[in-house]
Amino acid sequence: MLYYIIRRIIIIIPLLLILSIVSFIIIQLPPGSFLDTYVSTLKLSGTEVSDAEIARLVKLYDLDKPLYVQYFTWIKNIVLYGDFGRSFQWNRPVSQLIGERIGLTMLISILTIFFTWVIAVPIGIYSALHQYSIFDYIFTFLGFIGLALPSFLVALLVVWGAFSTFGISVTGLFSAKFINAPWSWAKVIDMLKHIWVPMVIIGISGTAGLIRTMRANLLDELRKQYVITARAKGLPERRLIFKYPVRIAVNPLVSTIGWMLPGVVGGEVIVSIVLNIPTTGPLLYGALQSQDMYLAGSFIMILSTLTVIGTLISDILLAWLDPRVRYGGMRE
Amino acid sequence: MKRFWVIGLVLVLVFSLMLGSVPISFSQKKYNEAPMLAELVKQGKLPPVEQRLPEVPYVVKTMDGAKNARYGGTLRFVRTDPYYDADGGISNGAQIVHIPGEGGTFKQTGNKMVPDIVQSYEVSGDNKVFTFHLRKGLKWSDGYPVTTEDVQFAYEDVLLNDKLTPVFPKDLTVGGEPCKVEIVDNYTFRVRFPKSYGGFLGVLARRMMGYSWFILPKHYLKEFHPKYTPLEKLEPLIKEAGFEKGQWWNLFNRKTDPYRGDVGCPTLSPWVIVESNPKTGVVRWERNPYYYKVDEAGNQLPYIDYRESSLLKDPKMVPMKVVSGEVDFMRQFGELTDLPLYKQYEEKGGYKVLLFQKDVETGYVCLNQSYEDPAWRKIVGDVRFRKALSMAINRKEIIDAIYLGLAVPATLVSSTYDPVKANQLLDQIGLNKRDSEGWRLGPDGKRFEIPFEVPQLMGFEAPMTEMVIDFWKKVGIYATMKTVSFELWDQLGASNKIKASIHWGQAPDTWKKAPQSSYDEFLPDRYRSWGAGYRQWYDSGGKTGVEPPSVVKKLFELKEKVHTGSPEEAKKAALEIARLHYTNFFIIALTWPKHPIIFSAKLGGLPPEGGDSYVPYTMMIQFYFKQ
Amino acid sequence: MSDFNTSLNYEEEREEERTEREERFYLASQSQLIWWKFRRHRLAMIALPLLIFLYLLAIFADFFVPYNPETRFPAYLNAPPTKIHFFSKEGGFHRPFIYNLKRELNPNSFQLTFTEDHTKRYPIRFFIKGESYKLLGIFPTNVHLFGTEEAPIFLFGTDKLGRCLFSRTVYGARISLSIGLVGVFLSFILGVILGGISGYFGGTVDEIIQRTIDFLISIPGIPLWMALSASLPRDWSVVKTYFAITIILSLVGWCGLARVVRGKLLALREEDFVMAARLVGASEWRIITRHLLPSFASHLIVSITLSIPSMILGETALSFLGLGMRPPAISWGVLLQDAQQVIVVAQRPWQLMPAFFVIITVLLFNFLGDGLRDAVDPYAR
Repeated sequence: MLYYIIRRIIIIIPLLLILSIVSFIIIQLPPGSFLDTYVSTLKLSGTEVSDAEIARLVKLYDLDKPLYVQYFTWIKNIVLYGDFGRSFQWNRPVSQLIGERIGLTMLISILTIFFTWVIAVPIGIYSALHQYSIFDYIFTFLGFIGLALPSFLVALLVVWGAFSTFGISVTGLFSAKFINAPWSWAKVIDMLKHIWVPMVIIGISGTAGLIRTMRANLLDELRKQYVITARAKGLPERRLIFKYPVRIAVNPLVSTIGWMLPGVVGGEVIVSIVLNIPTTGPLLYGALQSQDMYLAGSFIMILSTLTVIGTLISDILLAWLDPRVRYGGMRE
Repeated sequence: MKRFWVIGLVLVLVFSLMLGSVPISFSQKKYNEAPMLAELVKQGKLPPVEQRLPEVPYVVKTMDGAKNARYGGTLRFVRTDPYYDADGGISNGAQIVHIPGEGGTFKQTGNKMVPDIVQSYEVSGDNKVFTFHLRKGLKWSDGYPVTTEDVQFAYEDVLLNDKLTPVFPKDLTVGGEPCKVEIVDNYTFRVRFPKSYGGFLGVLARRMMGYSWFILPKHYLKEFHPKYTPLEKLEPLIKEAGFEKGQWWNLFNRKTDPYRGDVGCPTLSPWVIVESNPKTGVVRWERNPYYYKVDEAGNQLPYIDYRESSLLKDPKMVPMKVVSGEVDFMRQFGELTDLPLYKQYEEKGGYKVLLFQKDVETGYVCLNQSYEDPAWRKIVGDVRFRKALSMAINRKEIIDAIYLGLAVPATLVSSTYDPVKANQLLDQIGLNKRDSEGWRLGPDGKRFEIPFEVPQLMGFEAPMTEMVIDFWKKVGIYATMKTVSFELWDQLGASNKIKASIHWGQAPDTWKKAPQSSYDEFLPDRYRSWGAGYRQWYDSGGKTGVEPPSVVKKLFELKEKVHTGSPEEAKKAALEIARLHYTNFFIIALTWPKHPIIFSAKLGGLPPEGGDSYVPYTMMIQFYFKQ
Repeated sequence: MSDFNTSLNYEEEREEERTEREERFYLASQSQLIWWKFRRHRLAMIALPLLIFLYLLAIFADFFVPYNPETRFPAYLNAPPTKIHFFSKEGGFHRPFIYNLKRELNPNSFQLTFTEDHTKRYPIRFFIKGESYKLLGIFPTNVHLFGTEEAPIFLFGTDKLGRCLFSRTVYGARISLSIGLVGVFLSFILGVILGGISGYFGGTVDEIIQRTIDFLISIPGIPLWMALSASLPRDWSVVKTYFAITIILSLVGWCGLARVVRGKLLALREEDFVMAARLVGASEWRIITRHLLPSFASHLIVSITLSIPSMILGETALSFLGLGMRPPAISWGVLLQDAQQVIVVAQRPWQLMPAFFVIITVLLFNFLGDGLRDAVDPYAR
């Protein structure tokens, strides 16, 4: 087991290196640079940018150096100093920008995942156990509707509904008076009053998918011979169900936990944009739109790294849960 | 007799008592200030208002502020850029001179640029020497006096410093040679040009020009300039700001940009940024206690104490914020298509929507007459072709469809709609053969195609182009549309690779009124790509690009006249430019829309509806909250 | 006496019937079994014909809709859906008809209000001759399923340029319904093959494939899309560009499926029945395809049916971000681009109709997938 883990970790390092190059290339692919976007934005708001100003900005952002130099400077700074570079758009260090938002992002993501699992797993189990019952149909139907709704439309509808019916504004994470206030119990309550909106909206589609998968997996297991055997042997139903089939049905779900890691940190982009929540998702999106090289590149790098780590965790979890997997390869 | 004396004595006593109780400085105390400042004066933290204002403050003739205004309140904006709020930023300017009507007073007539920060100016007869007199007693927002020391600093230590100014601003050069700034005395400085530069004042008066080319707070900024503060002392600050060693200029620039940089640099603007919080996205301004403008009754401006801008990530959610009543002023995102929604919730949201005339005309259809394909140029370069295509477009229908009828046809070219005549013209110039589907054939026997590449900047581009394509279908011209990102469009335009596109340009009325302050959008450039190649030719002095026909060369010559001639010559040249555009259809201009601006219902001192939509920015200093 | 006889006969007959039925059951082929089980799932049985209908709608769009999707009606901008009447104001019953709409711009609210003009009735005609088009791109004709003369009929209202939203939605189905099929199909094939090999053989082959998958998964989707959409040749049509991107992403998308397949196989290959098959002499290929695959076929099917609709949803989401299809292409995502505004939700909610189609399609695919899963499962009763 240990050997397995060590082997995997060693392979990760060249992988990360390749990922960093790919991240950098991705950022550089679209034509133009941050400067072009910046100038266009200024022009749009009516500000003229003189050539002198542009020249000054080119020097400021090192945009006149060749690409590989920019790449090496970036990587060197990350590895040696943990310095992810500077965001053009925000004019602040990338690590600061991401660091500020990461707490909130993870909070919302984890709450949403929690919400999703707590609702979906029991419903999925119930559905599988009572297949074709009326509740199964109802949950199936609701689940599917949840899957089918485009989340940003739901966000817009919810915001509008709240305003036109109740006259309240549910965008953002805090009411106006708490925005600048220091953390207090009242502020936490205010945040909770706002946070349920993104949690529910983001969670809806995840819940539906999870219900379906859980149900399908459990149904598969319930057909297996050992279930019939155990029943014949007189094992009480409840104990039977939860001790074996459910555990195995949950396995594939567990293997997806690892992949959630980048999602937890990356946050949900579209709904956050509509609801004006300061998470990392909109940060990345904005960075990509304006070709904010270091912010976007570093963020992608971080997400990729997390994916790799997450995969490793998944595999370890899977191996731990299912001993049959631990011994890879066919024994001859 | 005795009675008479007693009464007389009493009268004298009463009189002198009255005289005595009347403040001695009656003749001096003609100014009033905001209560929040009066409070600070009482506490001894601020000098009294007479000492804060310059000897001769700028007097703004208000709409009704002098009579009805009250001090106080917080004006709320909304923005989508992380740091810069356009509504807040543009309305917080201070100019050395301004265009008549754009310095706070709504009605101002005349052709001469109005002195603003400077009290007066003189121009030499040959338009080479400009002498400016600063207002005595003018002070920075931290109370430090403004003198020509600041001018000298701005010129010698910033403009002439190649790290801070890698490229000397083109607008400060004539015939390629830069200006020279001379200090005459504490309050007078001269800008001297080697050649005649009649347009200099116009450039200074240009919208959003500001004053930082010539006036910078030396007392504050010298702390960040190696000429006054040794580099070693600056290094820790540079490091703290996150720049590489030795890059003091980055630090310096940070200090002069309160939006994206650091707060604290003294300013001459009506409001001072006191906070720019990246976490919450809130930007706050407080009034400038040393602001140099007053209203006719002597009340120091502005009336409003505080301003706030909150960050909204999705521009589509701006209407939501408006109808919820969370915005007091909004011009930046005002779209006509949202007008019915805004109108519906005016009462619930507590705001008013007023319609102004947009400062730009939209629907500038640009067929690239300098594209590097001679066959294409032969057709598109023909005035009759462009005229026909212009006549094939029903501007009224476009106005109804895209602007709810709230626009007038553009004034750059004739807006006649005559598809019959259009067909005739097209037949006349030799495009009379058609293929089996009815499309006109080019001289090579193949269907003549006009491929549009349009960006999505203001939202009207795609739908308007679709309608144009439809109109041209009816006269047999085949056109297609592809939407591209701005970056791509910008690059293609710059390299003269776009055949057809659509954009906007400053309204002719505006640049005819003050041609020397215009942005020259009547010339071709990478955006108005009808002559991108011509522009390359002009900018490179003939080395690259495509040589323009003589009529376009005339445009460039006229622009030079506008740039360097006297204001009268410039006016004449501008009218000539307008005439050339009108007769030559360089750009097929379509519409001049209205611009809705949101004001809180509690605001007073507002400009009347219908005027130029830029003007409310300049009048913000006389807005006030009623009640 | 006869009653007793008849009842006995009755019993015998029923016995025979039963045995016949059972015989049919035992003799039935695999596909017949699947079909019978499928029929039991009511939701899926509703879904299948509806989906077929939707695809037919898309293929024969020109026939089903009254107008060309590009045709603008300048007098009817942002018009609400036309009401279909059966009873006229005078009280008579007629064939379905509509009234013409008069447009007024309210000078105070700047709202365009449409009121019905009751002076004339315009009956809805079927198989009416309207704008010409080419059926299936080949046969020129101008017959439309329904329409009206003179006064236009807008089942879903119009958009901001006065184009019939019903026509545009049905046309949009062409792109939206097809866009995912290619990509999903490709990912599926790649995922199953490579995941299968990886999981079954293990060892070095497994390692290599796993590392490649790790690498490919680690590249985040949205940035990849943005970069790719900007760097494709600019003279490609929007549709071509979109297919290109979808295919590229499916080449990355196979990874998810491969991992799951691998996981399942790793667990399953130790099962007894595999060893039994090997002992009998079955080839590796046969073992994989005939024994291992069917045992988790249900999981694969759930996977596919959840992939197609997520492609459809993905197109909608990407269009929201401005990365997917753009005008003048017509897809549900493009139609929703215009609908994502506060003013639409507030004043013209009918323009959100394409969202309804998206939801319905996704629902239908999911029902179908559910039914298929139940049907293919060899252990279901």
